[in-house]
Amino acid sequence: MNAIPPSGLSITHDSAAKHVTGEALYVDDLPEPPGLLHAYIQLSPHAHAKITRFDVSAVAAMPGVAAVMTAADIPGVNDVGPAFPGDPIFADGLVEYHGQSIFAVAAGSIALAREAAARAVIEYDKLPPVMTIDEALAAKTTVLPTQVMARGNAEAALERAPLRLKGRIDIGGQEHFYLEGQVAMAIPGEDGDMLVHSSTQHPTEVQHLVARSLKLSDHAVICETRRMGGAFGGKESQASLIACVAALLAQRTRRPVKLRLDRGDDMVLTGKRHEFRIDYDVGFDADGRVLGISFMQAGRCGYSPDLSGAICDRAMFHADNCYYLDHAHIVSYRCKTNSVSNTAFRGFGGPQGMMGIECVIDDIARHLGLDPLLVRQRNFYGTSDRNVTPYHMTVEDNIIPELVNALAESAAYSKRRAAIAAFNAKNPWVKRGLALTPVKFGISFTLTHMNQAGALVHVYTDGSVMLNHGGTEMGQGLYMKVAQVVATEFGLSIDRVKITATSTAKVPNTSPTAASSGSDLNGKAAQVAAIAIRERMAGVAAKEFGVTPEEVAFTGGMVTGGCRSLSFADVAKLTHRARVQLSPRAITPRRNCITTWQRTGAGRSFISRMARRWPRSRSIR
Amino acid sequence: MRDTAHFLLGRDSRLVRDVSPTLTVLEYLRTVEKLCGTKEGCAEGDCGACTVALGEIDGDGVRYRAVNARIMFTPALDGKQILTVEHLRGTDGSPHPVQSAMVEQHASQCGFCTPGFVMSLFALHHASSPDDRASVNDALAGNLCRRTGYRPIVDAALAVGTGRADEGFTGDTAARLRALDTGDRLELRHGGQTWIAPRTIAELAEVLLKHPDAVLLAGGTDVGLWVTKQHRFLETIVTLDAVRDMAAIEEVDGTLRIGASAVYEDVLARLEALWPDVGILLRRLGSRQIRNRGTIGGNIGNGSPIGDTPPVLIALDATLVLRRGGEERLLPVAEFFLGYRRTALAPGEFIARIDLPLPRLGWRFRCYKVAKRFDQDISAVCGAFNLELADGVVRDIRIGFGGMAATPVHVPAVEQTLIGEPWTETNVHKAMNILDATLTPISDMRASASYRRMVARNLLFKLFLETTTPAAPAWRAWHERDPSLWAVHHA
Repeated sequence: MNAIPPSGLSITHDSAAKHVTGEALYVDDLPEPPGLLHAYIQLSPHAHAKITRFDVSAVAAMPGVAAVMTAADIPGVNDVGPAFPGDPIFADGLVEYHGQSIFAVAAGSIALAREAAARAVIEYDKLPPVMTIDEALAAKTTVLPTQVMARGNAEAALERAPLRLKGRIDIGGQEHFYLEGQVAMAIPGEDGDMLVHSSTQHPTEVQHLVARSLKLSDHAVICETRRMGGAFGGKESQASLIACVAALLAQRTRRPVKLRLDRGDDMVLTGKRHEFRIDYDVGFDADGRVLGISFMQAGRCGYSPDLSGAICDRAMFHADNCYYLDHAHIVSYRCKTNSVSNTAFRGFGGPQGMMGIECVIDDIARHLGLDPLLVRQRNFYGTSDRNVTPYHMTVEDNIIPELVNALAESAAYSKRRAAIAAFNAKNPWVKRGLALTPVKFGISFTLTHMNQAGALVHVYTDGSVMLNHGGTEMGQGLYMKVAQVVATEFGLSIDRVKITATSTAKVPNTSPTAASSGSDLNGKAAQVAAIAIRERMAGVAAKEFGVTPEEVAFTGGMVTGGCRSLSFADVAKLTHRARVQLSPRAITPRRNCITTWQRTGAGRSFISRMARRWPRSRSIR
Repeated sequence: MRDTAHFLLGRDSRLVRDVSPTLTVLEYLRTVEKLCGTKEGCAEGDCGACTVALGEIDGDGVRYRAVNARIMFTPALDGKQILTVEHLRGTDGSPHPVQSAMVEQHASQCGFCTPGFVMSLFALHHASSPDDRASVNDALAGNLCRRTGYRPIVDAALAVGTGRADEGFTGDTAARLRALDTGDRLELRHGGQTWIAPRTIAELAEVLLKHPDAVLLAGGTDVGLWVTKQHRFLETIVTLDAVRDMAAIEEVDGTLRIGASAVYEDVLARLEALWPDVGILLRRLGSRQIRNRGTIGGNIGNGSPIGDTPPVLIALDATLVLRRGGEERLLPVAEFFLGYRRTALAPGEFIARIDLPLPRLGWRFRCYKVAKRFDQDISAVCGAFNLELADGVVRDIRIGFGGMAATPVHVPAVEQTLIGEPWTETNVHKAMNILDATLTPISDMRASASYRRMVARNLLFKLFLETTTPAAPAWRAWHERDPSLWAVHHA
């Protein structure tokens, strides 16, 4: 059979048929367990203030209120900081941004919970807030230490350069506006265990943080995520607080609790894209070639570190975009402001870093009166020389010059440029423009140990397959992609592979679905697991057929060897009877992404899309 | 009098009495009916995730309109049929052609907005099969998707074709809807709230005299947000939903008469034919879901300084017909707005009709909406201009602005500078300076005062350029031009 394997087919989204009929269940659509309570979070009305009086007795006394949860009531740790501490679940004496969570109420309905929350008596002593990047730079307030990345001697190169420009760009923030707002439902079980349905990109982190705040071991908490109605980075770390509040109230009341944020509350309570200020000082020659450059990047992190360290790092990693910066110096300030803690958002600092250099290139082009595309092309990374990044990684498989040439040609760039120039010459009021801008983006997490994934594959004796992995589905089609990989390894059609909700009880200790790595990491883990089962099945089939395992093939739902063949299901039965395990779990570490960029040495920070390398060693359990 | 709302949910009848009159249709669907296919995205009628189709008798058949369930109150379903994404399957269980096309064209990703898109497309296809991207875009402007980039969704809309599904919900629907109508007024009371749905203007006048403090609901695309966002408790609501004799549009003696309860969608074509710019403005003022519920009467009566129709009505010199009890009085629209959200309406009085003089030869009308987003955003500034030129001289001009003061404003001082003078750049600049001196807008989250002043000045200049430069039509952004151009740009 030479049919295209499932991995080569264009298959609709695993839930498409359910999306269009409304049958796909999101957390808020799950059947509500009896006794369900609804939670409401009271938000701070001030950006920076000491709480001088905190009295929620009237809230608790209101009929219909089941519980009030404050910082003092948390049995475990009052912090959901993903990498560094600093994100309290409830403000404890000090509020640091307008909209910060102060306390939560659980009641029979959300309206009742909201009404009750309004009865709290809270008094504040207002403190002066630091609001903007400029204010934070002046006050030298940061959430994390300042970082410097350097290659060559930028200062000397700037001094030597025949031409020099300085400038500044301010890049605004952005709200994720995932269509499905933040939501979690916590259901208490036996022995104080907790099941949390969470709309999160990072079920493992939700599990761990819920356990920590409830003072439970990780094994007592299960986080399950079937699908998200969009996330865009906004549910990488931000889902944790929502899940913890629901779980804390569920633990306290021993009743299931749902917390779904109203859109307005969601917008003020949860983080957004980092605003950035980027100052630059560039030296260049008459052809527009950059000879030396110095960047000052300042990210508005908000009141806590959250993921800002990695985000600001990534902005530094992308300060070059596609251009060779001969002598580069990049300093990165992680500014603390009294605003919501900014967080992961598509690109994770990369777009902001790239905006800086693109602005520089445009400035140079304007200064020299050159077409900006020409200046871009003159500064592209080379293939054999001029090919080392400011973080000392050699750019491999560089196709950017050819790619942009081909695009400029197919888009008739010069013809359009001429037409636009003619239009602009004729029209004093309305102007037109044109740009062709390349992007180089780093794939994988910059924190080495996060570049791993796990998968669990079961083959049942009827030949059907169940698949689970650590990746989450937020619309990108990851579940189907991974299922296609598994179906291909088994030579089965896609409908024989069952996709199941991501659960920390099935695959533990996973990384978030982020960093453009979900398909590669989880797909590979699932492939490794599937191959392990297939090899075991091949061994059993080989014995049955009287051939070597290498001669056994899996295609079209059949297992063949020599002149014999059996259905996949029959071989699964034989394998089971031979007492051979049909359910391995695999993890795949990804090699070659070490981040020793800081200050000195050479390193490999990202995987090139063209030259992906997989480890030879893998662990099967 | 009836204390129970009667409607059809899909193929089933519903009699609803024990609910708050301000329970939104989305809450009703998700919590009472446990139909969770319809989603809440923004709870303010912006994102369209809560879109459902509302069926109403239309001649012998049923017309379906897409509406936002989260800002519509449940008793407003009275006498209508509501269809959700769960109701579209044929009697044999097969998906509706719209649903199949969405799957085949890879038009869903995270899927959360998908039910809303499906319902907007269902309503579109039920009316007529679109064959161009422009009409699909217009039908989908009120549905937000953060993932697909829309192209596959528009592809799906066009791929549906003309095939009709086995629509089990249409067969005898008109007859069943007629049977729901008991001929008496709905007055639903619950938990200290009252919902009154008069059936004629006379009844409305009488009810409002009795309840002068009632909230008059003329579509609810703003009042809905008082409940969903401000959590306000509305005691008495008098709705125009059932008032049949106040929605007519007719031309009488050189005047276009618009019933105050006519919804935008029903007046759009007529107004667009007379003043093309008004068509563009109405499309941007609200999505189809909003236009299917919102009314011009509501936009005026609301008294907001940033409503988009008042500047237009001021420039067109509209007259309002106000009624209180059996008394009617006429009031030029410019005199209606007294202060921030304060109007000339006396207690118990309401807007019954809007009268617009029909355009005369030589008049040029332009209106411009400046907002952060193109579709259904609130204006930072809205400017409307009605200009009569004769031999290069301004014979008359009327100018209305929104967003420039605590009320929509008429600027006679600027008009007087221009009238009788040649329509030249110098004179227009003089008028711009007077405009600057006349209006003192505020800074808020939509725009700063200085930005608003600059925009207002420049809109007058834009009018000058557009009326004096032959190439001007080509300057307009493609989506502001004749919709027939849309297809070319999207192809």
